[in-house]
Amino acid sequence: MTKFVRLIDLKRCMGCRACLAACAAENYFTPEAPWNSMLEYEVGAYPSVKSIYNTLGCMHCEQPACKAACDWVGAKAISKNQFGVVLIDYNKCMGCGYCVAVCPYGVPFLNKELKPLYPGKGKNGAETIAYADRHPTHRKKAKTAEKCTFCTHKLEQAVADGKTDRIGKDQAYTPACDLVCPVQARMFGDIDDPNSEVAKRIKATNAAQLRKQFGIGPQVYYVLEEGAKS
Amino acid sequence: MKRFIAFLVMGLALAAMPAISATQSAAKAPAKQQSLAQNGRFHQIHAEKSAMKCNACHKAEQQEVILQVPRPRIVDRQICLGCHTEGSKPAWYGVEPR
Repeated sequence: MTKFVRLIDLKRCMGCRACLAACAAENYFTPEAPWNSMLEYEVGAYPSVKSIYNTLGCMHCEQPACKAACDWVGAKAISKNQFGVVLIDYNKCMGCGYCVAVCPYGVPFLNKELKPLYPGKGKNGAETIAYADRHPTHRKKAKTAEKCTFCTHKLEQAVADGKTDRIGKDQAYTPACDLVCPVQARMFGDIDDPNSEVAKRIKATNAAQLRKQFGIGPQVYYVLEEGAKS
Repeated sequence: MKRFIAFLVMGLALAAMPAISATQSAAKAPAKQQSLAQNGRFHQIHAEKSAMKCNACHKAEQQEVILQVPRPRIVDRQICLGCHTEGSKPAWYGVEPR
């Protein structure tokens, strides 16, 4: 089996937000519905204070609460594919917002209106691609829920090219956010392959999933800075 | 005799109507009625039927609401765990995918 996971090392992250910018350009996210967010808070007491930078995208949970809620309302717009990627079908989403309400990470956003990323400054990144030519995950609609897809368009390309072994290694087959980190705080790969870098590093760093009490099996692991909230 | 049986059946049906109606209203609302709007079904269930106060979910202070995008009127989903876990209906958390 192949199960893709992400590792984010909060001890390395310096809060530059390059991963957010890369995601914005790659996935044409609009300001009201970011697919990747940066949370910043301080821990400790003066003079021993430090900032925690925590980037947060979809956790692509094993038992996604968003999918359970979506199925329950009858829309059945959320699915989980063979690689463990949780996706929203914009054509089925009816904008009820239940996925937004139940996600313990506050990840999905209801995109009320399609706005350009940089209003008045022309098209940017994927915005330049004609709507019909875009990957289905980029054919966004107003009043539908959106979230990170693990750059599934790249994973699909790897499958089409027969290069799934290059996922997490090659630029063409690796999520945009994981490519651009200047301090190598992010890593993406197959956790079911014990020889993969991500599997080794998760084991070596004792990386943890966030909010485990919800029992939904997030597939993003964090190396937590001392004092960081889990 | 036939008339008596017909009346009996009709009477029983009428007597059962409230029970049938109650069962139907407790059942899931049609998909299009699901809404997070303040007057929508989500808030009706929680604020009216479950008699939860607004501040039970919508915390005034955001400091302790970690791992969620800081926005006004944000909800800490920790409170959802009280009801929506496996074994309850509807369950969102700790549920094996179907």
